[in-house]
Amino acid sequence: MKSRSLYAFLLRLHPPRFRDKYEDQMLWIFDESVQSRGVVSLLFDALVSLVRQWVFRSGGRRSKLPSSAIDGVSVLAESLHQNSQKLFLRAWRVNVLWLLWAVVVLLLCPMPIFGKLQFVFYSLLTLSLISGRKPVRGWPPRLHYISLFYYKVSREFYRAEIESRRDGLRTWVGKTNEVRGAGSIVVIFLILMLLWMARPVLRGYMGLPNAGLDWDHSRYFVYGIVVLGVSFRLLTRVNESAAEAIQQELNAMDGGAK
Amino acid sequence: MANEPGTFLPLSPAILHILISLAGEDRHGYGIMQEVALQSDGQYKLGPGTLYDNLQRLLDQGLVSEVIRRGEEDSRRRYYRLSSLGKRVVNLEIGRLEGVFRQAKVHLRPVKAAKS
Repeated sequence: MKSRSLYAFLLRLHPPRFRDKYEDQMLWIFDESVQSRGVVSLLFDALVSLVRQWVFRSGGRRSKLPSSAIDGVSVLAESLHQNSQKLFLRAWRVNVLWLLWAVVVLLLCPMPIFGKLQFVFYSLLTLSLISGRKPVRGWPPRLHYISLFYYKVSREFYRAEIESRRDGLRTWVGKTNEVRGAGSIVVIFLILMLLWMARPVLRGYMGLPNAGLDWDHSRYFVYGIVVLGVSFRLLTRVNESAAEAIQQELNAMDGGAK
Repeated sequence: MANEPGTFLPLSPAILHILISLAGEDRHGYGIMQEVALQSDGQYKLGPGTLYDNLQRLLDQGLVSEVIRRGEEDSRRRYYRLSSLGKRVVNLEIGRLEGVFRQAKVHLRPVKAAKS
């Protein structure tokens, strides 16, 4: 049963839209075919699927609302609103995590003052990159732009409105998966880096040599997050260009209506 | 035109197999996997991840639709049906492949003769 639990766990890691729709069916196929196909083959397939769904598919799914939903637009708007609230909270959690981390480092870390300043600078830079804002200038950011994640979702509202004007019942909502995925990646990355930094402490518990806190590792942590932040910022730029294209589309539609 | 059958070609092997497996009757996911294995004498085995990824694409493109079967003993089973657009796409792809085979035969025949 361990292999089934592992398979179920891999399915749970899939993007919500894919998971909600196919998790039960894939588990059922696992139950039916595990004897004939072998556990390794199915687990490998699930692993490949996991990467495929997050990396290649999560942003590009076109969602079709039920054809019976006459008021589909309002249903969609409500659902997007709920999703955005969740994402907003998640984004805030990431920001709070950052603040806690900064406080811990500044208060407890026996780094020289230059190192602390360096840390603060990179923290601010990274946080602002993730938030989609320039560092320091314009601080604090406007509430609804506090996070890249929320920014992306608010763009979905915008897009949904346009799509609803176009054909009423179709829109793009798959991006929320990408946003959730991005949030999860940040959190997972933070946790992994914290664990990595905690290695000396763990070594102490295990009675191994080279025990004790090595705060100098924190700079690598910061550098890693900066790289991640820049990647997210680049992603935002892609979305900004998409938003521009949508704006042009909207203008053209308005022109056509006149 | 987004729904022009020609715009979907050429089909990937996985999608071609899935569409052909649905040409005869509606099938659930596991049924599709079994049918594909049968069609290819066990040489082509679809995994559930690949299957549902491609099914999702086919549903989005309108080549396949989901069918609700009442009274089904296992609620986890969902059935899929080839749409009329899907049928046209498969026919077109088979026609295209026949052309490829014809060309291949024309070009490969002299090589065979030369060898013998």
